[in-house]
Amino acid sequence: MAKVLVVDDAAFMRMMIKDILVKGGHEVVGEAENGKVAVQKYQELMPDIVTMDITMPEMEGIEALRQIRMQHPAAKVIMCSAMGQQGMVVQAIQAGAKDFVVKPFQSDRVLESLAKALG
Amino acid sequence: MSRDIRDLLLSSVCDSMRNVIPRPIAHSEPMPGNHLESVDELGVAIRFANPIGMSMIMDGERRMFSKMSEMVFGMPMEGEMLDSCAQEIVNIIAGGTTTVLSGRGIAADITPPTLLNASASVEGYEGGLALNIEEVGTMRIILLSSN
Repeated sequence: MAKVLVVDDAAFMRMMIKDILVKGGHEVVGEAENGKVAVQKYQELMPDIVTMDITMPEMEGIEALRQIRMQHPAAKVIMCSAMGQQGMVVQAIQAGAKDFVVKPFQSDRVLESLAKALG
Repeated sequence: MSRDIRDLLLSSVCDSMRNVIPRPIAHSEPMPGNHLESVDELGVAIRFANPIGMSMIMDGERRMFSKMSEMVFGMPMEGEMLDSCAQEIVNIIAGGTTTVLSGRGIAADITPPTLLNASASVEGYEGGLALNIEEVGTMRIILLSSN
């Protein structure tokens, strides 16, 4: 079981991801509605892993990923985004993302991604 | 807005919808004229940054978005959670559209979605499509020249 921070600007999507994670035996220790809040909550909660949307107000997900990894180089972050074009995936992986899950996703895909990232 | 860009965006949005929604899009037709006064019961706006440089509204009845939620996510939604779900559905379609555009050699970014209440006014209407999605209902794709 991992402690997870769920980051997405849509309350609906946070609810969906939380449901998948809890049913998969994980604990959602926090939620954030944009990248700026995610950076703050990561510092506060120190989760085992983060699911991170990309297109969000205030601060988008790849910038939040960079800031979290700058402060915590071992941070594990999985991107969950509808923008699955190759350039975006490459940008996220280069910034330190462990995986990239394209929306809409099946619950198995999310849980497999977490398991792989957590090793 | 050039007609080529408008048509490219519309066709890319339709391709993205076919990837996201597991039902036939039974019929589509261009919305005639050069004027549209307001959105339907529920609408979501999103902007495609340059080089596309235009905004899109997807709108329809609330029950249409609820049925779409059931198709895509396995559960119907209502109330405030339906509003959030509608934003996410349009965000997913728009995100998929950027992937389709990327395959056509165009790199485009999108803004976060904005919820539009029933009867919100529409400015800068450039054209669009009304799509009849089997077992879901009618969704309009409305393209705007600015904002």
